[in-house]
Amino acid sequence: MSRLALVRSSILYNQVRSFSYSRPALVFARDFKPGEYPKTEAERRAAAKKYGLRPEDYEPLPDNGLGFGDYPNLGRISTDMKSDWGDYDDPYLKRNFGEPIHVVQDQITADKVSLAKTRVSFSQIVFWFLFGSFVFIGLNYLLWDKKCFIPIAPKQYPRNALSGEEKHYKF
Amino acid sequence: MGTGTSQYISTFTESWSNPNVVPSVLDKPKHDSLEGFESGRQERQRKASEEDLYWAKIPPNRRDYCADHLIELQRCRKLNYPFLSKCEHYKHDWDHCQNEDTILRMKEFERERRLLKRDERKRLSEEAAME
Repeated sequence: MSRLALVRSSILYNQVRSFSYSRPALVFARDFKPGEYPKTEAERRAAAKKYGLRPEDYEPLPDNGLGFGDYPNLGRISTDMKSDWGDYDDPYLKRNFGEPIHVVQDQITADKVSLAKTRVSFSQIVFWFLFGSFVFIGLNYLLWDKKCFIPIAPKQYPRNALSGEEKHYKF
Repeated sequence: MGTGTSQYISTFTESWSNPNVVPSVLDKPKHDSLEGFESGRQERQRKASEEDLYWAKIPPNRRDYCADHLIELQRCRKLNYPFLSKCEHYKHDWDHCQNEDTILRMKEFERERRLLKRDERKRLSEEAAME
């Protein structure tokens, strides 16, 4: 397969021929090219069979105009969420032969984006960021004119006393 | 918290609440230096001349009233290098001078502060008398 086979789209075609690392990750497989969104039961069963899924497991991606067709929705599971200790044919993708590939698999490999639930939700992040920023700005605003200093008189240099303006005395 | 700490803190809390009682840290004092001293005050002297300081290569920020001791210290260090522990006597003299200078600055600050407070008290009593 030549390098021209690399396709710059979010739909990966299944790796069915080899798993060696010297070849490009994308191998053209027209068998797995998505078709139209399935409307009838027969179309659904055919699509499930094409992708290697059971008909009850097959759930197409929503028909929202983004052009996914009948490609299956394999859930918000990224590669790092899969078990590290499983016996996979392809350890990098954590995938066995014939298993369907996620629509955005190239983004959710173990060294890229993870879809795991974060300990801190997005709204918490936003809240604490705004809280901290307003506290910082508010303190600056309130204390801008308030000064803090070491209570000591300025240092006396003899060169200032020579001109006669100041005079320096002992106590 | 003793009186020292509370006094230290009150200098800058008063800079927010009562600013005309706090002396300036950067400018010259407002009151006359000889006010209140019936028998006068001794002037501070430095024995080293400007030429001595020039030849000793003392930087400008060290050309204060302790520069005499500093010249002696540097001379001792130059003569005894690398056995600098032999110059501890001169170093102690210089450090002691710096300490005295700092204490004098603190006393000046406190004097200025008390004079300002006295002025404030007078001002308030005059205002109270006028009403």
